[in-house]
Amino acid sequence: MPAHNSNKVYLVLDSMDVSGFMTEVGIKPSNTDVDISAGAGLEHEQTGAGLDSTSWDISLAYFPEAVADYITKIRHGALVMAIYGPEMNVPGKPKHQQLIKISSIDGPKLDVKKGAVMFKVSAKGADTPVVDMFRGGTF
Amino acid sequence: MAERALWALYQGLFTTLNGANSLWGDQVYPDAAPAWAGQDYLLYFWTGGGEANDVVEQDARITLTIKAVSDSLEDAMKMAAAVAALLNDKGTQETTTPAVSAAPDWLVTAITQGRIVHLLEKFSDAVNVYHEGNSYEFIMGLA
Repeated sequence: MPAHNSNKVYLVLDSMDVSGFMTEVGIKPSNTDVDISAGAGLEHEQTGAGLDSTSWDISLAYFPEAVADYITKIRHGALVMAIYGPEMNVPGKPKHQQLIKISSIDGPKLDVKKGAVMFKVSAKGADTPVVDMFRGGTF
Repeated sequence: MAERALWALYQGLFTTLNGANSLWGDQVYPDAAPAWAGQDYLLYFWTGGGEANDVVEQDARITLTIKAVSDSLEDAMKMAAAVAALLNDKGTQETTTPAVSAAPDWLVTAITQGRIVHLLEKFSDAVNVYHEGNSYEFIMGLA
């Protein structure tokens, strides 16, 4: 049973398939801690689940012929419907769909060594996921 | 299926260099010069690189050595300088008149002059042959 090593992802931002521009994409779900410690003589903190949230790191390559099409999708402050499939959009494979807020963009940054130019986008979940990969959501 | 990047580059580079300067005329050879090649001539060959993996689709960063071979140190230096003038920073993203066409499948988006190649080859009868040139990095993307 092989581990997953492919770079063929499915990534859509506001109905635009940007999979071909992806150089890195990652989603980091988290849940806030709620201290529910109670009772006399308690010696250890008890922690309950709080609210879920997700943060996203998306790096897109700068394609001169296409950048005008997708640069508006990653504008800081934009609310964007993101669909992410780490095994493409194959039926039955994991899917995460959620409105995200673009928090910041790093780039385009050029250097004299002619490295690959890209946009490094940080985003945060802006609403309850439409499809939550971590609750079993699939295409 | 796209043409192999190295082959597209080899062909494009030959077209660019062949006849581009009277110092070497049509004496431009990939990989190795034939036995009948007279001096002076240009030689280019793969030195490193391949798929760049900067993006999901095919791309390439290929380093070639391009050197002049001459029995005159001065001519070898002049030829190497002429090659640099033709190629350095002359990719499609660096100038409106790019130096190398890798059409139809590829674009040479950036060309970067790198390390110097400098070699003296000594033959009998005190004959010196000078090899002078540079490595060049060619960044390529699908057209």
